[in-house]
This record gives sequence, C-alpha cells and structure tokens, in this order.
Amino acid sequence: MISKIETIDDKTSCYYIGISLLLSLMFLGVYAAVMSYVESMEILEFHISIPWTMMISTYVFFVASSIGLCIVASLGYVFGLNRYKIISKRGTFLAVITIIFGMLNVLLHLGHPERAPIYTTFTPNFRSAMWGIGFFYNLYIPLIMLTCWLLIRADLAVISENSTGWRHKLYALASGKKWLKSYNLQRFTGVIGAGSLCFGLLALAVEGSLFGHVEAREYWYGADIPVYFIFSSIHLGIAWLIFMTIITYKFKGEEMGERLKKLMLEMGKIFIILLSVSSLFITYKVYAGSIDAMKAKTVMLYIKGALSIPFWIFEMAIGTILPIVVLLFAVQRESLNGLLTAAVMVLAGAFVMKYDFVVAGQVFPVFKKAPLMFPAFMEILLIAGIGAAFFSVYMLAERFLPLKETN
Amino acid sequence: MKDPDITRRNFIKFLGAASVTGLSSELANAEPVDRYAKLVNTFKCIGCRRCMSACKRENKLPPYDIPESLIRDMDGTTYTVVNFKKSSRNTEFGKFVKWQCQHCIKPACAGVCPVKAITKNKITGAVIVDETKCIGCRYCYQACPYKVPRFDFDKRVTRKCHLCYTRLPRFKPACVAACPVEAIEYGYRNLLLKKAKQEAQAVRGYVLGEHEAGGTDVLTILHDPPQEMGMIVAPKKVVNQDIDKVRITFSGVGAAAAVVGALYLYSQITKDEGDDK
Repeated sequence: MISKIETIDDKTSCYYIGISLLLSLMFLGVYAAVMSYVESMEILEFHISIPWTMMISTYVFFVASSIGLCIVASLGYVFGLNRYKIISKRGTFLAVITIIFGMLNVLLHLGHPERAPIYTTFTPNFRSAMWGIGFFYNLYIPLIMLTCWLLIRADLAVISENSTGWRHKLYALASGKKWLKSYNLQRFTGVIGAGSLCFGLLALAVEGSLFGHVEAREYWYGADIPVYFIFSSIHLGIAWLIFMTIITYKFKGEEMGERLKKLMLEMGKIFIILLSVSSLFITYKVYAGSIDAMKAKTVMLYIKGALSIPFWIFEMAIGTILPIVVLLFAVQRESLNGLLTAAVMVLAGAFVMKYDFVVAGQVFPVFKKAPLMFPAFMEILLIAGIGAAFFSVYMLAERFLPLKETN
Repeated sequence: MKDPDITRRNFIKFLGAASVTGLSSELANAEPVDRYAKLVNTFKCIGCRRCMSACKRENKLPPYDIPESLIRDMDGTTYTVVNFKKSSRNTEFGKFVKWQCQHCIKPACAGVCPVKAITKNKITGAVIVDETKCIGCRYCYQACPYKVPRFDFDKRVTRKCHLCYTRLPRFKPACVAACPVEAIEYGYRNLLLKKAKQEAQAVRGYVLGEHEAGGTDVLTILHDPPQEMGMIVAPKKVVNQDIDKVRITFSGVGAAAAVVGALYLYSQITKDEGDDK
C-alpha cells in the first residue's frame, strides 16, 4: 500500500520548500556554468592532470540510464509485451530527458561545443570512438523523442478534446492531429522504437569503446568495458523506472493499479538477477585487474587506496549487496517501499561507480601517488544544478504530459 | 644481355600481385627515409632553460609562473620543460631532461581526435593541433602515451609543442636555434638516430624514441631507461592501432546484439495471451 506523503496538488509548505530547493540548485548550477566561461574552465576541475571528472561520469551515468530505460520500455512497444506497455510512456520520456541532460554535461565540458557539430560533419574522423558516439546519439535522440511522441500523442489529443481555449490549441498542436490523422500507429511506433533501441545500444557500445580504446589508460583499456557498459545500463534503466514511478505515485498521493504493481514486482525480480550479474562483473573486474600487472595499481586504489571508501561502501554495499537483500524481502512481501529503497541505493551506487571508473583510470601513469579525488566545488554545484533541472523538467512533464500508466 | 626477370610483363604481374596482397598500400604508407626529427642530448644539456624561453617567445606564450624550486610540468601555455632528473639506478648523477611532445610517427592523439584537428606532417615530423578546429574534449590527452597535449583554460583548446612547423624545414625549431651548447639538434631522422645510438653507446646511455610508441620524431639520449628516470614509460609499439579499436568496439556490438536477443527471448518466454505477436 502506498502511503501518502505530500501531494503535488496540495501545495503544502513541503511542496514550496522542494520547489525552492530545486530553483536554488538550478541557480547555483547556472552560476557555476557562467563562471566557467567568465573566469576559467579550471574552476570545474580538481586537478589539471585529471581532465575528465564528475561531468564526464555524470554524462556516462545519464546516457547509460537513457539506453537502459529505452531497453526496458521497448519490451512493450517493440517486443509486444502488453504488461510493459503501461510503463512505455514514462520510460521513453525518462529516456529522452536523461539523454538530453547527459548531453548537457558533455557540452558544458567541451572547450568549444559550438564547433563540434560543424567539424564532426565536415572533417569526421571515423577512427575516433568519440565521433562514433556523436553519430549514433544523433540518430538515437530524434528516434527516442519520436517514439515518446508517438506513444503519448493519442492522450495529448484526448486532453485537447477535453479542454478549451489556448490549452485546447496547444495540446492539439502537440498531438499533431492536423498532420497525422491516424492514432493506430502501433507498428510504426514499433519500428521507430526498434530503431531507437538499436542505435542507442550501438551508441552505448561505442561509448564503452571510447574508454576501451585508450591503450595509454591501462585501467580503461580492453574489450570488457563496452560489454560492461551495455549490461550495466539495463539495471540502471530498471532502477530509474522503479524509482520515478513509485516516487511519483507517492508524491501525487495516488494508488498504484494492480497491473502496475505486479509489473514493478516483476521488474524487482529481474533487478535481483541483474544486480547479481553486476556483482559478478565487479568481482571479475577486481580479480582480473589485480592479476594484470598494468591494471593492478589502479585496482589497489579501489581495494585499499584512495577509492576504497567509495568502492566498498557505495559500489559494493549500497550499490550492489544491500539492494539485493532489500529486493529479496521486497519481492517476497510485495513491498513497493522496499523496491523504492533498493532503486535509490542502486542509483546512488551507480553514480559513484561511474565517477570512480572515470577518475581512477586517469591516475596512472601520471601520478606516482594518487591525489585526493574529490570533485571541485564548482563542478558539484554544476552537477547539482543539472540534477535539479532534470527533476524539475520531470515534474513539469508529470504535470502537463500524459505520462501516467493506464491500467 | 637482357635480364629475363625484369620484363614488362613481369613488372605488370608484380604490380598486380602487389596490389592484391596489399604490398602497394604498404609502399604508399612507407615512411619517407628523409624525414626530419629532433634529437635531445641530455648529456650535453646544461639546464639553462633557454629552450623554454625561446619556445615561449616564439609562440607568444606567457612566462612560466611556477617557482624555480618546483618540478616543472607542461600546461596549455608551456610546451616544453626542463627538469633535473636522477636515475634510480645511479642516484649520484643526474641530468637535465628537456621534455615536450614526442611527435610520434603514428600519433595516438590524431587517431582519437573526433574532428581531425590533429595532423601529422610525415616530412617535418611535426604533430600539429589546429586550434581553430579543436573542440576541447581532451580525448587526445587521454590517448597520448606521454600525456602531453594540455588544455589551455583561457583559449579553451588543447595546445602542445608543434615543432615550430611554420619555421620548418628551412629554419630550425626555436628551441634548437636557442640552445647554446647544441644539445638539441634538428635534422634527418635516420642520421640523428645513428648519431644518437653511437653517442649513447659511448656513454652507456639510452635512446628514447627509437621504438617507444612505435617510434617518435623526437629522440632523447638519456642517462638510463625512462622507468629508471621516473618518466612515463610508453609501450614499444604503436599505441591505439585501428585493428585493436575494431576488436574492442565489436565486443560492445556483440553485447548489444546479445541484449536484443535476450529481450526477444524474454518476451517469447513470458508472453501472455493478450500480448502482440
């Protein structure tokens, strides 16, 4: 049973505090971004020799989440499982905003983002994984947006029919009923969705290769990184869906339908399997790394070095082991709160895991001894701002777009 | 008497066979024998750092603002540094080591730049960053075996030694011209390598750049191998080879295909009566 916390419509003090917090964080994020242009980009980095830090790890976290959400949502509209169709709208919408905010991270990290579309088009380097990422995301992003629109346009038309004035016109325009009369476009949605799934997976494979190609970074180098990126994205997708769906229902104070609750629990079971596989991946990473002379130094950072606390506490305990235990109980007792707790823990663990992976890979061979690897204050502000903007956009969409599951 | 092996027919046959076997492409990609390179002799260097000043002057870069006592490191406005380095093998002696972009014969940085902002001039040896094209992603820094390309936070682009390519080959790079003891030379790579080997043999030194990263167009005669000098060690092969990149990318593509297969299987196994076919 979902207990009512504070509903969005109630507009209690808690609601206003939440909105103020989001707005403040967004303001601080904008301040950090502006200062990086006005003063120097150096304020966003904690060490000149570690140029890829939290912005890159957050980017990786968001894009992996987007592909994961796309994978889970595609079970409904691509693979034809009706029980998954109820979460398709929320899933694809989340996939759209995670990829957009992920890209925002990388755009703010680039020295000259305005040059990227020009020169990747006119002087492309096909040998570069970074070019490949740009290519596949340029295909994935419009397709996932189109899929999302196709999934919600019938509901947009219904809202338009049931409203008057500018609201009627706006929703009619958004539903595109003037240009596309038919609403029975399941097959077309399936094809577009399949396209977005394929390009998203390819983009993520190349994303992993971006790190895997770099022979000069021994910890990143290797064929296992793209594989890990792909598989870890699925449990991120499930975690996001469980988290956002349950938290939305909680905040709106609505009762979750039986079908949706059943699906959440089914996803919880898959979640357990995926987390178990993920723990095997981590064990493999640590074991293979410790016997590989080139990677051993970095692996030791994880086991008993500068990254031991994030690794043992966040990656292992909070991100992997505890969620499995919580999920086992949650699935057995059909507890949505348990699912929510596990999802939050996995998301927190995965966020730290991505940061550790990105930063740890850059320590050797430059440093003899690992520096303090805590992100710069301004970078934290920027990421907090991006996170606040992400949740604000989701809240607005939840308010104005028909994302709600239909039982 | 006419040599029966070198007839026109045999020559055409050779060309055909060569193109089929890829030999022609090998010949086309062959390194020019008269390519240029730079030689740094740490046994001659007196540590005056005139090369650093000349580099700054030539490239209109701001002066180095780190106190003298600290170990110098390259950054977006410092393309070359001279540091006193001692060998772990022989701690009594040390040498001034000039360090800059090693101008790899097959540069990894050029291979990963998504916009082809980094190019290699096979004749002069210079690996050049086009600052008007650079998007400032810093992937080149990650790929470089020596961690040379540095980000200029003011210009928001990656910058590094370009071997004063606008002066080449008629004039020498600024650092070479400024060296008062001729510890830095610029000339044909094969001749410089021969000379470096001879000089290294005479002092039981080590020639850095002959094999490292598949060979570089900056050769340095060191006291001891780089690992003994506390320097970054590059593998003795070309780094970031294209075939390796293909292998790694395809592992990800394989995983992606496996995920699609698993989703299909899952949908088939757990399909309900009301589900779409």
